[in-house]
Amino acid sequence: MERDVISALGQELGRELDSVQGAQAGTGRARSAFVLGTPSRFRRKSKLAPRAYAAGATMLVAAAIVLVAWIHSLSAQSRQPAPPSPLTFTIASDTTNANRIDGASGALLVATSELPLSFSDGTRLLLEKEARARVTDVDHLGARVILESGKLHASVIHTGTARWNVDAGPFEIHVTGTKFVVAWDPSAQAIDVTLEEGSVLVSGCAQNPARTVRGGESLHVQCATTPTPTPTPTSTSTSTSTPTSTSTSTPTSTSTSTSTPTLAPSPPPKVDEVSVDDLFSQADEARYAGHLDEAKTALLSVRRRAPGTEKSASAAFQLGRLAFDGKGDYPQAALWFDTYLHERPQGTLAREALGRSMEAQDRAGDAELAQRAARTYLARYPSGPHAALAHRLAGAQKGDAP
Amino acid sequence: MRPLPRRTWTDAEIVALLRTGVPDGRAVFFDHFAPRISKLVWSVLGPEPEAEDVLHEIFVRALERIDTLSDAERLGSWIAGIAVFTSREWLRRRARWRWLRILTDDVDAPAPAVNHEISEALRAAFQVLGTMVADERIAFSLRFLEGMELQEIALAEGTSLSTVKRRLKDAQQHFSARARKHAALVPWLERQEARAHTGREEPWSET
Repeated sequence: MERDVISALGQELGRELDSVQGAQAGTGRARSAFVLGTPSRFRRKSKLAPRAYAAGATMLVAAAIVLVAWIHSLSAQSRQPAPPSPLTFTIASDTTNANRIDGASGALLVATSELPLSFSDGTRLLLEKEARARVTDVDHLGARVILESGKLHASVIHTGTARWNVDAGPFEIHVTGTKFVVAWDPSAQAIDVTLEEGSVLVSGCAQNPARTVRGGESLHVQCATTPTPTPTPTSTSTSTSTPTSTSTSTPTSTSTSTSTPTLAPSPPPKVDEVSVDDLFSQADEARYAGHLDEAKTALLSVRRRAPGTEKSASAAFQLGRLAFDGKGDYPQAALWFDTYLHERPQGTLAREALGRSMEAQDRAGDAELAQRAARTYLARYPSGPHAALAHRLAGAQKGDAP
Repeated sequence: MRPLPRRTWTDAEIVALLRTGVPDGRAVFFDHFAPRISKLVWSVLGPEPEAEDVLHEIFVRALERIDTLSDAERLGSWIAGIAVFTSREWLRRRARWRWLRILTDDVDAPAPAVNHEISEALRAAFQVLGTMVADERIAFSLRFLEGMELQEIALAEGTSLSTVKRRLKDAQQHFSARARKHAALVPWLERQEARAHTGREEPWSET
């Protein structure tokens, strides 16, 4: 199976390479040179070797020796090229950005109200009220944000080389350029990542191997069985001049237990004892772990506990996915996707639900319903991700008609 | 002198044009095969700035050796073989002098003609391929990136079918082990694994 995955990956990359090549590969210079009989540059380079390369290499080595000796002979303030400057950031006392101070790497930031951070590369962070975080490892490519608790909004500028990470308990979020919100509840060991744009890679705890979350997606994971130490602000962090590191940033009682986990392992709560949000988290966790029946139980409980709500409709969609992807129960999947469409005809998942319903009907062998869904899909989403399938289904049925 | 008519030439006709030294023969030869050979070179070398020099060299070598081609109908597979050998020579030469390139990226990323995710994935893929020995890299590229059949690869590489299979197997193992270390390839691998798991092609999004 591993080899099949690599084969398929190679083929997919090959298709993408074709599109890049089609747009970029030039042959005009090679054509002119060949037609006119110009000597090959490739060959000119070949004729240099090995003697010219050897001479060049010798000169290079000699130059390197001279350079090393020269560098050693210079003092600390000599003319060595300066390393790239690390990013800087400022912290505003409120969202009006009126009063700003320079941020300090490693300092504990405790948001007594919304706390905006602005970085010199254009990246913006916003700590929601009561969130606690530190910005560390700041270099010219990015920084590491340790979210100790609460909610963080991030808008990371994509530069091609940007390197940002958000640590939240046992989880690590690898970011290149994107907009997202991450909420971390250390007492429940629960993380919630919502992507507005781009994608991030979430790893750690139950997300092993790492999982990608893309624009428009949310990830809720609870890591109840692998407790980690509660973040412990140190005395140095409280003495920094951050605008909010005042009374609320005083080390708590947990600050003394710097090396001992303070959370005892606890079994996941039973379905009837937890909130609807927690049920979604449980369902996600169970689904990622392959425990499909547990995921289904949690989602059904959402529908029982919060009928008529957005979450109930989302649970219907997720139940459709479980039936489709997990069990191959296509009639059941179509039923759940249609349930979502019935409850949220204009919902954010409506396009996907309609496409999935069409695909499920097709796989279930119900050509008439599949055709009907295909026509509806094409009318509403002519360039949607299921459009190709919809065209095929609609066209096939048309052709079959007497 | 009257220019050659614009039409589709057969391999045998092109060989005849080249052997008789018809002035426009080179242009006909290049225009006929450049799209395919250029694509092959890209698949093997990746988006290298010197790919066009390699392409030029392939046609020069083919022209120099055109008299040795015994079966004119096999011009296409013959020049594909020259392309593979020339590309391999370039890869090996670059590997020998890699230490001279330590201050630059191993692979020049494709310009952003496609989206960032694809650009990063291709860059990572060719970084992985750049760590493999030339024979394995070529086998992998021709089979998966170029989409050639095993028999075609054996012909182009001038080796046996079993050798191609062995190189391909080793290449897949090496690529698999190294690709997972590249964050840009992880989501691509996840997608393929999900497809392998569900056994279907699927355009689906998560919530």
